[in-house]
Amino acid sequence: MKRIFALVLMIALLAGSAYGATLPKLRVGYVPEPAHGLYFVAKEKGFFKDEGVDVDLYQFGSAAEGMAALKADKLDVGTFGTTAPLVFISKGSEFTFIGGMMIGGQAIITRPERLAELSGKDLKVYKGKKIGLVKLSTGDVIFKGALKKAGIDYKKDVNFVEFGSVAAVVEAVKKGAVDAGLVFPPHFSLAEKNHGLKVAHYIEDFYPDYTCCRIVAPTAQVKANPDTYRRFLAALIRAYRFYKTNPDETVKIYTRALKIDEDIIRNETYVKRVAESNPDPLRKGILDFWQHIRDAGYITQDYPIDQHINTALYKQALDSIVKREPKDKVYQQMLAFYKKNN
Amino acid sequence: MRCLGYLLLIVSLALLAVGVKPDSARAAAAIRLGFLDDPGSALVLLADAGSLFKEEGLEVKLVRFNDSASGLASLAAGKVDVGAFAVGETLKAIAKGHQLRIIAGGGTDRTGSLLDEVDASARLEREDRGVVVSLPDLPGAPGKETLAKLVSALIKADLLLHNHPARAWNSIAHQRPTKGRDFRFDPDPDYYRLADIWKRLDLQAPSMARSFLADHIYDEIYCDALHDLRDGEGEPDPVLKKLADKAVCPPDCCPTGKKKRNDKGGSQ
Repeated sequence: MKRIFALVLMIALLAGSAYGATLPKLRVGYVPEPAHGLYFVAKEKGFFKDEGVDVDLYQFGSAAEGMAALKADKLDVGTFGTTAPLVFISKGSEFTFIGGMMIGGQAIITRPERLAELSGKDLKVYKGKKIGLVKLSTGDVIFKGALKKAGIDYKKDVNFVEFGSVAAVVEAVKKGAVDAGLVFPPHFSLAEKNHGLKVAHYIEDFYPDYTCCRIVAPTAQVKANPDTYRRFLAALIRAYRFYKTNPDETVKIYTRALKIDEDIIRNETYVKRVAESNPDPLRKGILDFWQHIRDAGYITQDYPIDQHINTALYKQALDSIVKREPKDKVYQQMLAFYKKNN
Repeated sequence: MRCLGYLLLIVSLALLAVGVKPDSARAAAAIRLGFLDDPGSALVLLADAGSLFKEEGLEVKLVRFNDSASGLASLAAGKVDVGAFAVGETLKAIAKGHQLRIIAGGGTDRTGSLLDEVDASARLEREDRGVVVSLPDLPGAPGKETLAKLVSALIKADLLLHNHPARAWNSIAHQRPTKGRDFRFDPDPDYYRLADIWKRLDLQAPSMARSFLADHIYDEIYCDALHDLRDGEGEPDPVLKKLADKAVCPPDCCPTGKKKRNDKGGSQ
């Protein structure tokens, strides 16, 4: 009997490992931000394997480095802002947006004594001010988009000062070289904690549901392996549900993965809700973002960016999950959000 | 047995000597930089005359060519490592399948003429003769770090030319444009400008991928060099600021490894 049991166990183990070995593999790149945490949730909770895809995660120091790795075929998919993929695509690279990872998240920081002057819900407070930023960062593009929507001629009325890195922006705000600075998470939390600076506004205050940090993959691979990418997105949709319904465990997963102060992660993710980790592709947001880049004069040539957005894979992944759990409120909300934004 | 040991040691040392040089070793060896005998090559000549290559820790040996065709042939044959030649011919060589990567721009003759109004071909011809800096994308070519230093020197030459034109041209008096000729200098390889020329010359074959030209333009090198020069600035030089305003570089683009940029939180 024991022999039979051992044989059955061995066959089961072999079958299991063979199943694991046959799962399609995806090399996924990301930059270390709390709002990119759905990857860690999907990995740690086993959603990727459940959905039939084997994922290895690779961290990058900047969006540009990640995009270069994607272009060099060292990655199969990644999340590297919105600007970097758009710049690469407009320069001839064949990438396709298939999903998202983060909505919102950018903030304007200032010194405490300037906070009262910059308060209120009117963007006009920034008229005549000197704002530090990293050129072509999400904050730069979206803030200019928000100013334009508010009817402010930012080329004339706001003095933007470009810096090479977000650390340099924080330093300039600290020294008073600029009135305020545009930064992204977790830099504003770190600036508050380490330097006593204050968040004057989140750009979401002026521009709800704007796009940040899209999921992008080489077009040829998306076309060759749509099912793999669909499974990948299905896992992220399930991770989103987990993040919405299990805050404590999510904070712990993010903290372990990013090695950032747990309080900062909890505060940004669930208290102040500075960004939303949402896998929706947000097609309309990408097209708006491209227009803002062009309006700012960064890229003068137009390009049909819509050809590089694939919303079908995400919709199919979401539909397959809704079919499994039709009464789940989170999935129903995701469906409504998809319809509104794509 | 001892003889065999010595023999193995000698063979190993010999293999090391002829092996592929790492980037650091390449940086120490002289880079042979071919240039066109034309005012459009002024940035290269100024970087040499003003010891700007040396300032970047590079030893560069300039090799003069009378025409781009012979320069590009020498580049393909490995007789020079990097070349500053006419953009039109460089792009045509790329279209023919030469494994070249453009890393920087140079000077373009922008002398206006009344005839330009009625016939743009003369202006376009002058644009095609503008200089770009390229190198073969082959094993053993200078690595990213060396190239970023090379491009840094060219950007510094551009700053010198714009901030102190008299001093700059005096140091390379033989290449000073003759009276009435107007050259514009820009070290940016500028993908979008090159894409316009590529399109106008009708070089995109149906079999080529859309990214064919982009794959031959190494603008990460320029972005990185620009980033590092700006990082070192207190109040940015207005010419450097203008170059940064014009460049289309993703944020925090694109460290070559000479300097780690590892802010917590990455960049987006």
